[in-house]
Amino acid sequence: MALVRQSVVLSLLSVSTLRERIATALTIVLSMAVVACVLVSTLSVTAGINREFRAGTAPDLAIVLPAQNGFEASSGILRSQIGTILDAPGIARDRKGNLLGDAELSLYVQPTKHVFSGGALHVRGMKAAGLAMRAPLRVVSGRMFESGRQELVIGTTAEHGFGLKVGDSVIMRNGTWPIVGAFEAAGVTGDELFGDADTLATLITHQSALGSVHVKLENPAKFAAFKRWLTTNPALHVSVQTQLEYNGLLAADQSQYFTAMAFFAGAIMSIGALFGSVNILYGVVSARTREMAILRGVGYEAVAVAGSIVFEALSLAGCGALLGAALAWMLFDGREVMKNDIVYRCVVSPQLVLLGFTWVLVLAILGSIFPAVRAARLQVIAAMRVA
Amino acid sequence: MKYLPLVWSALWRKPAECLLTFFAITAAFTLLTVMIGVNLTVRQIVERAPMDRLWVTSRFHNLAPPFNFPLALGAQLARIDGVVAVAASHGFSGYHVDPHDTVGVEFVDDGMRTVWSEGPITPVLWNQLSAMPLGIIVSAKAAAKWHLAKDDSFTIITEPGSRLDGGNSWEFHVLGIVPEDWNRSGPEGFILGNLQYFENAAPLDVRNWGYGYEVAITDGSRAMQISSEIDQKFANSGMSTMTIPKRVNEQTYVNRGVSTAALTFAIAGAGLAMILLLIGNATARSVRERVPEFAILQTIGFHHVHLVYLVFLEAVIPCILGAAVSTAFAGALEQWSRHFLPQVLVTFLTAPMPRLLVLVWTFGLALLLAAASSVIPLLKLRHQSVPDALAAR
Repeated sequence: MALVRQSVVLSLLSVSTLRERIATALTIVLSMAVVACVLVSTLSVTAGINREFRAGTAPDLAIVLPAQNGFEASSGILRSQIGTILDAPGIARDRKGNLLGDAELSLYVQPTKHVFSGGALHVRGMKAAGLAMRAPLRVVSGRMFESGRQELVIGTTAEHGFGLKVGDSVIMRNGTWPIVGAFEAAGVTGDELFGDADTLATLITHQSALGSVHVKLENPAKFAAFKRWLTTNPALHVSVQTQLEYNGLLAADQSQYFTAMAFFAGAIMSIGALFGSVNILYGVVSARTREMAILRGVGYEAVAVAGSIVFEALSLAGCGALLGAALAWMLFDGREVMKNDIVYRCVVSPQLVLLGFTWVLVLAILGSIFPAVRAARLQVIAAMRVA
Repeated sequence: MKYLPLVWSALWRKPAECLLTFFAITAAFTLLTVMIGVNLTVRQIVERAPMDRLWVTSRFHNLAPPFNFPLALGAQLARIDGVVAVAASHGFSGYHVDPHDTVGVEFVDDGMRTVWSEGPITPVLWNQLSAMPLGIIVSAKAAAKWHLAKDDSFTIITEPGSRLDGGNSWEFHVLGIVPEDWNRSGPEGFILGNLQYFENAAPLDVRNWGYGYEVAITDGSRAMQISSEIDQKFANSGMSTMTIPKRVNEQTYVNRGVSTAALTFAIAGAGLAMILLLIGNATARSVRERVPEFAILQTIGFHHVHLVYLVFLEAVIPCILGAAVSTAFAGALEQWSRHFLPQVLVTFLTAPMPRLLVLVWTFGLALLLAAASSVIPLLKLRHQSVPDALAAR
């Protein structure tokens, strides 16, 4: 108990004397702020990408792809297999008893005007079940595409990202397809253009196959049985994932550059901040040698003295982390980034702030260990003589 | 020189502190140097990509064959207003010894000498390539990888039936080794072959097809307009084109949704701020602790300007040393990064870097940082009363 009381007293004493060491204290605060800011800012792009891919999906949505092909746009499920896949157990039905699942086609078409991100328009062919599964999906202008017609509807995010609007056309292989409507949807769905699956299939040579099968399950618990039924069926050779898993893979692929850059820059800066804080805290111990010697002389424990050094480092680093996270939030939160065909908004999420905070506090602990040990091992008489 | 013993004794008066400051500065400088390097590299990649050259690719290559264009498209492209020259190229791949280690050759026609006139291939080599169907021109990286020298023979094995004569072995003769060109070199360099060889040896059903085009135009300022004209001319045909100026293509490549130049600039700025904090703090502390020493120096005749030299040298030495060591680290990173960093970062770290420019920037910034970090301590020193300092008041 006495040790705790001593620790509290010494920690408060450390903090109360910071004004006398304002320059060194500010150096620790600012260098930790820089580390937290770089880490949180760069990872805010990754967080934005992850949020975009998670939004609009649900644990009861599943996707079936050919086993050998991991991505919708390059895959092909034979039309003859689609009926078998839709026979799998656990697929939900709408009020009229129609299955909430169908084959879809996914393809990329170059925009007429080049965009900075180099992205291509993501066109998805679907039928009524595909639209029903993506609820809530709202037509905000024009109308929905009709089956059998060479026309498209565009997500509002794609509209914004590619500078297209209702009434414009998209050059397709067999002619120009008008955009007849715009829809609003959450997540990456809003970055796509929709058209009739069978009409779009006339554009591709391998018309005997469609890209993937999307289904809505009765509930997420049905996924295991659904997957088992499909993957153990000898007539099929498919892989089954929840839409969340599939989108997670796409998000990881899209965000790896920013994640790598964040941890690469963060790690190097942390080494600098670590050496810097060790140096400064050694200086603090030197400057407070007399004070510490007196405290030890009047009965304060070595552990309490060491703890006050660690506490001081943690307090300063915590202020730095808050400052860095606040800067990152002001500069990046909500900022729009277009990568390939998808528009994201950077997110400085609470988890990210917590990561920055933890990262910096770990640095502070590592940086304060050796100075704290030195403070604890001060020989009282010698220290008073030196001082 | 006469100040060096004084500066050295000041720096080394607390060896542990000196070393820690140096390590901290070196780490921050390493980040700064790497970011400056990547920033300058991506800018260079974009600037060196010509705006007056266009890539012509298939608009719907991902949907269905034909995946590229017929050889006859070249003549139609050449007739478009503003087009100076057209070059056809055809990709080709196989293996040399290990079936799992593929090697590619880009077969090109004679138009490439005009379209890629800024490249590293001399007119003599182009003449040799035109005259010798078996000839190949190999870049330095590719030559190192395949252990090739001028006049060597090189055999590539492809799938059975890839030649009209029923064979699958393609013999080549190395005409010369040339430096890399970022706009054409892949991670393992490039090998250029004579398109006529491919057209003469390939089975009849694959001849005349599968070509990509590069186009040289008269005026880079018309690049977008000519690109659009080409695309409109072939829109809705069986050969729908997607034409893009090379510079725009490189801009897209180097940027990953956000401008890589802006991102690296921002991180370099953070690194710069950190160095300034670290060296500023070290210099301020050193001056604060040595006020009586400076007072003695002034008493024995040192002017304030001499003290400026001393303090500046004390700040500049760790900065310059940190910059030097960090430059060496950045160089090592360029060599070894592929072993421990993700591919997305390695791409830029291993790209040909404008080393001299990186050095100039790094050392220039080291000097500036040293100067900036000396300002406040020197101002305090200027207002310090010598008698007070001598009396330790």
